[in-house]
Amino acid sequence: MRSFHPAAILVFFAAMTIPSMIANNPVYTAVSLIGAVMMLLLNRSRSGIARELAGYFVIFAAMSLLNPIFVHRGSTPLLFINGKAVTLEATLYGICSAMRLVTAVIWCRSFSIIMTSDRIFCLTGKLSPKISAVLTMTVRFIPDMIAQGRKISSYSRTSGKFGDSAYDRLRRALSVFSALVTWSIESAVMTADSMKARGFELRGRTAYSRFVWSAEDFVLIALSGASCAAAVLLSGRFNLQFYPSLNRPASGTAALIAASAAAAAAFLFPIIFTLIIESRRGRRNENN
Amino acid sequence: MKATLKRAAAPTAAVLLVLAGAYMFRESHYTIISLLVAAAACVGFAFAFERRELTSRYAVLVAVMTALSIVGRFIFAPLPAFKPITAIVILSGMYLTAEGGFLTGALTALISNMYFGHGVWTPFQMLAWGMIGLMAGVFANQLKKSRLLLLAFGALTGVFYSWVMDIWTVLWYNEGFDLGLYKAALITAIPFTVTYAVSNVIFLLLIGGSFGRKLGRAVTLIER
Repeated sequence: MRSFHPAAILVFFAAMTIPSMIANNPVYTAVSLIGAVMMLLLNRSRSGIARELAGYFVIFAAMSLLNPIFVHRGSTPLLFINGKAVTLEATLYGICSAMRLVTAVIWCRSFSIIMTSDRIFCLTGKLSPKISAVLTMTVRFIPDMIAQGRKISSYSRTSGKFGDSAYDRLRRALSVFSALVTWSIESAVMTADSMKARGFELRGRTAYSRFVWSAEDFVLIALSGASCAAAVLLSGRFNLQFYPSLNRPASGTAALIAASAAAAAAFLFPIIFTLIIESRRGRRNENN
Repeated sequence: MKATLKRAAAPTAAVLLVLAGAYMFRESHYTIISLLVAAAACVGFAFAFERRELTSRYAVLVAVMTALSIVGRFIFAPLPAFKPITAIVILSGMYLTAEGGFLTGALTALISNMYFGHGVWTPFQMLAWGMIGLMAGVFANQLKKSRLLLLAFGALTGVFYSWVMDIWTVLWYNEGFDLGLYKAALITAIPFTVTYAVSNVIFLLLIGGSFGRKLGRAVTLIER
């Protein structure tokens, strides 16, 4: 995924996440979930992955229990708690909607691993170079501020001005923050003058990381767009209706199965495409 | 005042667009549409900002304010909802004009989520904090005059932030907007809402005065 242009990556993830939130069909959601987990496994470092996946499962379980407990619609009661029916339909709806939520969360997780700050700057730089300049400076200031904050804090601890009581600790934190603000603003004005002297206000700044468009990026955008459109257009045909009783859509069983299969297949195209391109590019890099 | 209103026009129009879009598409795919419109509002603001003359000193000050609020989010990460972000965004709006406030709020959400995790909620967070900065910029003169008004404004924006994010919670869980679920979300979020409001008041009380004076001096320096 990392070898694609940031704009293509953004479109790909949007096209994967949005239909996963709209489509109310367990087959489609399951395909999307498998794709999401696969992407996560490919792009995430190995450490702590089992724990993270277990965390998603806990969210899934909690969310799917929530619906049958609070929603009593549906016509097939399974059991009664305090005189209120826990229905089959509400249970199924809870499971499906929890699966949708977790799928979207996992897609977003991969997205935020792959979309590093230089990729985001590449996108915002096209949209608005001025905001992008502010963004870059902000990211540069954060480690500076943390380092300076540590310095000021260790000075104030050794100065002997503050005791150990809760009140003194608050006073110390405030005095450190106040000194940090003064330092930040002063050094900011100096930085600004220095930047101006080097031509910040002129046109035509360049970026640190360069991302070049390739033909594959356009193919990925087209595939993702088509897959997303297919899911949104087909969703009217394959969405299940849960209340008052689990019902096939108006179009009939055969149409439902056909639409689910078509949407799931369309969904897989962009994922498979990225895998092929990535492995091919990876091999080429190894040969070099 | 007139100049401020003129500058606030584009982002305000973007927000009206969000509300109109939310009303028009209330029947179908509410979540997606509102998400796209929130993202569009931020993009619209970016275009409006691009037309402005950007001096290096102004840009750096906005970057410093954003970095400070992100560092604040780091420092207070262990305490849920107790963050100095809104207070810093309000100060930024008051002293660096409405646009600076919007930018500080929106960029804080965008950048700090690089560390805390991006999600479908990012555009909403950007818009909510951006709007707070924008409003602080529009009422800058009044807020600078009265300390009490500033604290009340801080408490109100805490409630505003919580309620806007609850709209998002409902959209995210349910497919459409449901008033009953929204009320339930508001009630379960009361501890958060109160913490937001109280933390804003506390931070504005503690840092509002001295921080504001320093920023005011820096702004005088910019304009020289």
